[in-house]
Amino acid sequence: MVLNVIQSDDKGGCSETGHASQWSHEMRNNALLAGPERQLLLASHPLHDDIIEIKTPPIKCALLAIQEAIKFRRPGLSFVADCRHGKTTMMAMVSKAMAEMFPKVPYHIVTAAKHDKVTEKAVWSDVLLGFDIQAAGTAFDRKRAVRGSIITACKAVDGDAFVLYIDEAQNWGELEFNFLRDLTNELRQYSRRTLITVTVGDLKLKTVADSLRLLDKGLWSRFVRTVLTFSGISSMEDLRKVMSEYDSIQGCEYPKGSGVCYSEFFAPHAFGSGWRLANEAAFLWSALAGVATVHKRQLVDVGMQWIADSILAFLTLQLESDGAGFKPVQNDWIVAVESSQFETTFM
Amino acid sequence: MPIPHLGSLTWHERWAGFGEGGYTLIPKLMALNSVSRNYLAKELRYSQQVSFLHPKGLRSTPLGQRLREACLSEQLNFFFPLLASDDRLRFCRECLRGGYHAALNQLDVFERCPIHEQPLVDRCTCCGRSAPRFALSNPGNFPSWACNHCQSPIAGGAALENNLEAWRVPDKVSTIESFHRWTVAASSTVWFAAPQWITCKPGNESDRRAAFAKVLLHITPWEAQSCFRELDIEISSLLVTTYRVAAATESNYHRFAAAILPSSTFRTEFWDGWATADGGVRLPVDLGVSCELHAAYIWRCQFENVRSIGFQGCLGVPAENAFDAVIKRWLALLYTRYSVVLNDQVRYAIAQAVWRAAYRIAQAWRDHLARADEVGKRPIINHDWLARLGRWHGRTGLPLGLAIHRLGAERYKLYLFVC
Repeated sequence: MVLNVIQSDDKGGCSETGHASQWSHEMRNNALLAGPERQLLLASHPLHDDIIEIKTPPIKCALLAIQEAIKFRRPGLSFVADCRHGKTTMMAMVSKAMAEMFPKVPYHIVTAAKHDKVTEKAVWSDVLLGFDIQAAGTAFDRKRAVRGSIITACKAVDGDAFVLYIDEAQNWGELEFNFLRDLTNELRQYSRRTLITVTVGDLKLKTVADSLRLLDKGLWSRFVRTVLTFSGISSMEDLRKVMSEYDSIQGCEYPKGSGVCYSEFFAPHAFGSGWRLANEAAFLWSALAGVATVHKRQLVDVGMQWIADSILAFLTLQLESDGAGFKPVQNDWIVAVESSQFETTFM
Repeated sequence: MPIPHLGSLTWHERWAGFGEGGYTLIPKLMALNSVSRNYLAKELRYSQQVSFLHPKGLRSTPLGQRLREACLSEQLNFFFPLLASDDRLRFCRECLRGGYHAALNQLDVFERCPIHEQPLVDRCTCCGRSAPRFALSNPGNFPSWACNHCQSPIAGGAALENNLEAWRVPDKVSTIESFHRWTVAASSTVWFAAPQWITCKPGNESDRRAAFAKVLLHITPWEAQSCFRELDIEISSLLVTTYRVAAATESNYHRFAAAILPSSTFRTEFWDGWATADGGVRLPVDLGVSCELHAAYIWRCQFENVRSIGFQGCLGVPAENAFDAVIKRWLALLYTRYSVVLNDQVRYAIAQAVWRAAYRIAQAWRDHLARADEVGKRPIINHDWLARLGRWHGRTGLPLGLAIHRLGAERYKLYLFVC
């Protein structure tokens, strides 16, 4: 069968002339025509990665909130979300976007760890570990090293603010936030630099926030007063938006520069004849709702993990059925949702 | 932008200024990362004292590489031991109060800070004891802004260790860029052969280094010389007593430089015939002519002799055009380094020219003195000759290299290198 999809395009991405166009054309051929190149590309497709960077509506909301916090130098902002909702992905995506938006505001992501015994030394070691810097010396030394690193990062870009993204923040309590407050004060007082913290954690972070409100209002108001919920996909409309991202080369192009979006990569013939993944949103939502119904629950909020896994399973299972008249049925999505193990969320 | 790193340590080049030596980089790294001397010593993993002039023996980590980049040997190639000393840290108080120290301060040619024009000192401002070595020694004597004896800031002012905000790169740090360009120009000399001078010069090591720097400065065609003149540097007046001939072939090039050319150490098949077993040509000691004049003399005589050496054999041009051919080749050499004059015949011819030059200069001086004696006058400088020499210099732009080897307490040997 001749792949007329190679020349087709309603995405408007391949209109350049000359070398760039030729190179892009070759990339398309490699990605879409059966052969060893396609097999290699398939094996390393970003959809198989742990972090799949797709701009979902909740991520866009988080981005706006963090943007505002940085712009107005708010000291702390928190996000809570249920497990597998894509908190870490959100942080990775947002931090990169913020770095582009505010080039004079350096950042780093650290992961808060739970320790049997909370000590200042352990906390600063974790932070230095996140900074990818050797931790050595006493607790005081380590804190100074953190301070030096933050000042260095600010100096490198001529900035006066630093954003510290803290993942798994539910592992921290009063003591850890106290240490962080001291550092923030020192930076502001002696170095005239602002430390903005963005804490992200699971639902337990809300409990931590509540206890801090009772124990130390200063800490609470500084770090976890504003707790925003990072929701999953909560409606079919949101799901359609997410799935339409797969159909767009704006954020979901693979290989880069080829003009091939994720859904076209997996079903090139179907895509060429007008099929779009976004149109499958109703089927997927229905399949997810079906699982919820079996467990006598309502479908309220679905984590991105399950959505991404279901879509990947669907696209992989349908590789063989790709063709001009490709018409998936509801059962295909039920199988895909099953393989994503979405059911485990109700157990 | 995430935290900038240097290996496993926090670092960004903005903490350092242009031309900053390794000495102040160490306390900056220690303070920024809040690591101890022992920790940093382990990171660097050096077995013996490492001079910041030429840091050999450091691990090839990003940190070790950064310290190597800060050293003078990177700029001065193998001239650094002839120009600079690591015996003591020589610092400008104004610079060091901001945590900055220019590696160039270790050059003995500078008596004042090129940036602030304040005198360079090598003693603690507070207790007056000697400043530490410009080297990475044991952790107990690690580079620090504080005096090892009285523990107060060595340059005075506030303590810098925990005060990151006090670290300042001097505003006019770009002043030293031209000096750095000079060091690069002076060190890019390619050596093939050299007439040696044996001289008598009273004085200590730093005088010797300053003299060398001044002569090197004089014979290096570089616009930065004007910056040196502003610093009021006078050319030394070493007395040349004997001319000899030495060689620097490509094969023993590094050994030649590293050993500062003791003539007994570089005998090759090619050179054996030219080694000066006869002790060279002695000159009358009371010529009263400065070493830069000798340099100019030798330089010119080489060119005069090149014409008669018979280059046509190896260059494949008629004898009458041989001189121009040589000039063209040498000019090309300036840009292509070794690619032109690679064959031994050409080197041999150059060496021959140099050797003849040495004898001819000696003869010229003898004649000159004899004539002066006849008419009862003291020897004077032949300005006409110098003017012609200047024209040649302008035409070719060839730099010369020169080194001094200490023979004894007050005996030095000067080496002039042909590029």
